[in-house]
Amino acid sequence: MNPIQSRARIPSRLISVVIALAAILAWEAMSRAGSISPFLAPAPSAVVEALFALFVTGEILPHLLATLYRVFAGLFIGGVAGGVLGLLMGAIPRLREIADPFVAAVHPLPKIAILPLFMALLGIGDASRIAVISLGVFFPMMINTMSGVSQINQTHLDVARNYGAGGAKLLTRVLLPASLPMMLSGLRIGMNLALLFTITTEIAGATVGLGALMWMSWEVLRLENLYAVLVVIMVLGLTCNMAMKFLTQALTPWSPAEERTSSQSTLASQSLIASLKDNG
Amino acid sequence: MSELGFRCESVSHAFSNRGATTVALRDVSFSAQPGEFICLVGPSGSGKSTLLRILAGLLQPSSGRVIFSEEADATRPATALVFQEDGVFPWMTVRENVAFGLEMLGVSKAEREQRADALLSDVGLANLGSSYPHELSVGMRQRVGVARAFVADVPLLLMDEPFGALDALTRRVMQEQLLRLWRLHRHTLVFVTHDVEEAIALADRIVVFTDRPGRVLREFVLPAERSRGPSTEPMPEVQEISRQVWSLLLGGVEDASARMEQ
Ligand SMILES: Nc1ncnc2c1ncn2[C@@H]1O[C@H](COP(=O)(O)OP(=O)(O)OP(=O)(O)O)[C@@H](O)[C@H]1O
Ligand SMILES: [Mg+2]
Repeated sequence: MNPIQSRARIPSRLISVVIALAAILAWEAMSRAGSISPFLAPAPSAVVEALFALFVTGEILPHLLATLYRVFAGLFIGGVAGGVLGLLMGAIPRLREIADPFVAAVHPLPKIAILPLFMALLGIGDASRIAVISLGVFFPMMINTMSGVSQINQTHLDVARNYGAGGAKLLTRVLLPASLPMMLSGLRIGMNLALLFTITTEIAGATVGLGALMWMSWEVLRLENLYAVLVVIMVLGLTCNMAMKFLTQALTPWSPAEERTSSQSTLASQSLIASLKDNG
Repeated sequence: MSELGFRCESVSHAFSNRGATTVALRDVSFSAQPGEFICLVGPSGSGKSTLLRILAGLLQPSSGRVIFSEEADATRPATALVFQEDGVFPWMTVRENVAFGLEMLGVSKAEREQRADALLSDVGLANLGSSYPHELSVGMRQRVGVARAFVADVPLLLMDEPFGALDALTRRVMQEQLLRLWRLHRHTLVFVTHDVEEAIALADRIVVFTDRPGRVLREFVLPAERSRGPSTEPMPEVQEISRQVWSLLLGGVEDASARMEQ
């Protein structure tokens, strides 16, 4: 961005790509030379082949659709519930005070730890998974919306009052737009958590979904498939984050352009994969 | 309908924040004739913004009251306040911001856009209707606030240092525009400024405030028939008033009140 820097410097993005390519090539070379076990780390070419096969045979399709369905169901349920409750809590300080201890108690719980409880309550089907995913989305959405509403510039509220804004007009022309940037950032955090929780809950006993496919590949020792699914999840994460960025720009064109590089979204996917490995 | 006088009767206001109490206004009494242009001058912290908030109905005075000449209506008269701090909504275009008051009144979109655009050209922002505030300078945003207050055509306009962030040239142009619009609509106008020259150039009456707690130190009535405006050389009578306002402000609170008590 800086004109003084950009003239002489090699773009950071190019360096990232070169490093990634070099790592993949080194990995490939080591696999071919037999210095790493093809069982633990199949060669990149084998992973690409597996990836290709997953799509050509259509084997991945039901899994991908199941994952997308869970992510969006959770995003919708958690997002709407968190948004509405956050708006109410932001607008009514008393409600916020009453709800605060509950939020403080439940929020730090690892949501995944509630899965067995939900399974007992809702059965072992998708409902319990979607409940966990929704809960994951709910908290960042609610907390962000609440602080968005409660941090509205007092002068803006006074201006609205001075011109007689009230009720629905106040909500749609002032309260909602003023808190929209915070709501969208809550939604973005929620979306990454939805991806994370979807894959994680799929590993726990699902028969369909990218997480399930990954787990089954591990069980039958098809490690190249496991890696291929990881690549799919990574691309899914990147795509979702990019879509979110476009949505944010489309909904808040008035907000000075955020200099958000994709390094942030890549980091999000990486943390997702890291936690998958922990859980696996 | 376009004129509204008011009378402040012993208006006092105290803020209390975490135990500490700040008296911002003490026994402020003055009145405004319908259609009068009043300038409030006074040192920083003398409660001028607080008084405007009370006049706008955004704040209830701790004691005392404001009586409007149309009080028979029972409902509070409509006022439009131009805030000292940036009160322009960042999520609305400049045009939507200016039309906000009309939108709240339920005026049709076509009409309010047309009226907003007319006022935007009055304040020198004719081509910026579709811009967002973050693309504007601070002074331009202040002018959006002024246009927003004028467009609703309310009987009482309250302006809190609206030209504070403008350069000398734009400030003069805006002063001329303000006088033109005021002559056209004859709103009652309460205008806060730090700038004595500005008050002299614009007002029918200057109300000088003391330092905390804010009280009315003195009122000066300027000759109504004079030619006003930033580019006119003040007549000797007006120059004398200017000198007196300055000496009140410079003389400090103690000197000034001592003199008054004699
Ligand atoms: N919301 C508030 N809470 C507590 N004290 C306040 C509040 N608003 C204003 N005050 C105090 O009231 C006094 C008057 O403030 P006010 O903003 O009315 O002054 P002012 O004359 O407009 O000053 P300036 O010329 O600097 O704008 C100040 O001492 C200020 O600290
Ligand atoms: Mg002030």
